[in-house]
Amino acid sequence: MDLDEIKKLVRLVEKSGISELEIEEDGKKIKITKAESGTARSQPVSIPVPVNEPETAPIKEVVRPVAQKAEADVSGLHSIKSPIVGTFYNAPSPDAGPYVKVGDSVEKGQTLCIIEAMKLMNEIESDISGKIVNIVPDNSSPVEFGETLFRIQPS
Amino acid sequence: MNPELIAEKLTTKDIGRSIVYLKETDSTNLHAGRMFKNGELRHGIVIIAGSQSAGRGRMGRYWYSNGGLAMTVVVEIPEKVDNLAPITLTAGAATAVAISELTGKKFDLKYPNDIMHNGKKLGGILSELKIDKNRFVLLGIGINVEQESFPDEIAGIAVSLRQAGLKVAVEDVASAILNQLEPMLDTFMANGFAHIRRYWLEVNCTIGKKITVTQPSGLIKGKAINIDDEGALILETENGTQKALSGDFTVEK
Repeated sequence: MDLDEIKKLVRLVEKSGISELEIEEDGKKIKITKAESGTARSQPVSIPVPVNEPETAPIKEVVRPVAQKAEADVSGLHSIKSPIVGTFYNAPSPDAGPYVKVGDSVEKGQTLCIIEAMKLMNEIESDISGKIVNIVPDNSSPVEFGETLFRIQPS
Repeated sequence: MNPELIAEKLTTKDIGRSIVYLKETDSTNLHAGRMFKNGELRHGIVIIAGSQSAGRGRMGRYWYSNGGLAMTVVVEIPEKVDNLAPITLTAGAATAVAISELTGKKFDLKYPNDIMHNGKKLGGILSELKIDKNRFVLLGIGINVEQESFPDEIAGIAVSLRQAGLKVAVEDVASAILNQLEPMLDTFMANGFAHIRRYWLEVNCTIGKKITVTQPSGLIKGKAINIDDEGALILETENGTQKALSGDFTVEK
């Protein structure tokens, strides 16, 4: 998770009705809590010191501890990750529209994208029902094993 | 098409020991996908169609299969296999070797696994990965066998065994492929693609050629110089050496 993604998440929390957002990805956890005034700030819960990932260092600069308010709904986003190394395709064919867009509601079992490597096609299905909050890779860009593809607000 | 004639000639232990024969279906991969949803897939199941109405190629392209072999081989991938994508190259190598041995004519592979004859396409393999608590790869193998001719749109790029002067039964093509496939898959799953690479290289028509890789994000042009132990095609381009894993691979004549 890089600085830009965190900024996006902060904006997301600001705009949405949710009061707190907690995301765990690759062993790093971030929690964003909305203050009563309605502005969101990020607060690290636990960021294990990564051995080979100096790019996580800037996170510390943006993080300002905030007094914890009493939270109502604690809701987290659900991540859909890539099961293989390959190329991310957002549509079944070049002429077709994308499977899903940000803001779409999806059902469990609905196809979200295709990951291809060496003509091995993997249709990625949603394992929950909810709303697409974020589509991480650009169409036809390479993705790594375990990389987050979608973030879904469970319904 | 008589599935019993396939079973008679099998020398395998698992692959093809259970055959689902469909006189007519949309596509054998779609059928296998439905079996997956119902929890009915097992390693080695082969689904064969007498005819299919919605045969597909890569990226939703139509696959013309009248008079050809259309089958899906179900392969369960053991947990220890981490790089499973080169199973598609493995299946391509097995198919090219099988048809060459069956017919005595040379058939070769365009990266990653199109079966070619004198620059025209004899067959292709569309593979799909399905994951629940197990991992299955559906190898959708389409081979042009008895077609006397093809629709105009593909007549210039497709060839059948019949057109190549070979009178071979669809059933014999199927059993030859399955017999070759099982030992190669076993080797791939036990030892990885590094142990299959030399078979692929022996039957390929890609290395040494100028290749254009078409991806939605743009083109990569270069000379194919090798494939690596992970199955990636290595190209020598103006911007140095590049690896390509996906896209449309066109060999320049």
